[in-house]
Amino acid sequence: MANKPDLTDFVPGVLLTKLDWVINWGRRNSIWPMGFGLACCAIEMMATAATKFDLDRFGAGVFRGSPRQSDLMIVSGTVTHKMGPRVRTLYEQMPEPRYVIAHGACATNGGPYYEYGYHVMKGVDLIVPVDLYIPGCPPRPEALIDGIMKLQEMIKRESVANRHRRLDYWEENREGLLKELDSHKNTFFENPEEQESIKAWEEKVRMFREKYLPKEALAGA
Amino acid sequence: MTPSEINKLIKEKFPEAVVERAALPEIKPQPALERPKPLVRSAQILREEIQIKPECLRDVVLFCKNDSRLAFDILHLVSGIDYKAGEPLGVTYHLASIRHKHWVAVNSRVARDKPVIASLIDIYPAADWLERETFDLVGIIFEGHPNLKRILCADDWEGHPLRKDYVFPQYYHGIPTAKELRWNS
Repeated sequence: MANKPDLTDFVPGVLLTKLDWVINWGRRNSIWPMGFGLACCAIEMMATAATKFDLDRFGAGVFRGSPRQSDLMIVSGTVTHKMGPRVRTLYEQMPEPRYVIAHGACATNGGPYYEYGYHVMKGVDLIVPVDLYIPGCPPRPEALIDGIMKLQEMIKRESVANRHRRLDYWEENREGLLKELDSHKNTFFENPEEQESIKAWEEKVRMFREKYLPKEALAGA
Repeated sequence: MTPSEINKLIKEKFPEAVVERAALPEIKPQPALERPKPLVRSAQILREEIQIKPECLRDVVLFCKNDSRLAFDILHLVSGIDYKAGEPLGVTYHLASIRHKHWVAVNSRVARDKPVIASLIDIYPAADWLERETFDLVGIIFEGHPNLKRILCADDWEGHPLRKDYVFPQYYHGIPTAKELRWNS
């Protein structure tokens, strides 16, 4: 991990904790997503934002038309190689703090195009750092809502002092993190006893978080 | 008119343009369906598609459009087909008539090493994107098309993906395309 100087070197920890609490409270309750969809997952995203599921209950229903006003990019759908550079440009135009959700199988690892899709990027995490993966083809609106709530929990654990460390960690250890995630996926799908494997999966996710999320972030929880 | 009647009419008008094919086997009678019978079954149209020489394509299509008995005023579909590696490529045009409510499928074979066929863009403006798509995915070159460039793949994509001999790229602009490279980028 990069040993950059951060706010903890200058500000007493007690003050910082209170500051974190206030700022994270504001951030997690007003996640403004970017209004862009790539494929059929976008239909589910629109349904999530509409009256029946009402994403606005979580403060995340304000779909912005510009990346410069958004906090969250929901990559909902198939990212083709033609679309990839555009997605990256949109991500770069978003101001910090910015979050990315890979919504659905295609954005996670290529989905149905994993084997023979010559035109589909095998996961949007090849071009942008992804905070959260939502499985499904397409995922139900409940799954997206669950993802947003998980993201809120992640924001809750952050600290304004060292938020950049998580992203640096992703950039440096991307290969290892992705391999770890993929091995868990395989065990999840190969196990015939579904309930057992779901429990094992959740346990592995917990271990994965403890192992890979920076200790500073976990300590802020 | 039924597809066979349309084919007969074209054959009478252009006896040298039509490529004779082997007789098709009889269709087995299918169990009666409860839903209403369509005017012309699409499977029947595809079975009885007429095969013509590529150099006569424009004459045949113009005849199909202008003849009052046929009056094909819509071009539904242009599709390029790679039947088998090493064999000629196919181009199929589906024409329809609103006035007479009938369809026809016109097929043409072009050489694999020189897949050139005349463009229909001045006869049917709808051919614009259809021909660009066929060029993009199968690599058929439509002579006379004013803007024949890729429509689905990226502009600098290499090869025509729906060809049987297409080689999958390993990387595109440094991003791995093959699934084996997914974790080694």
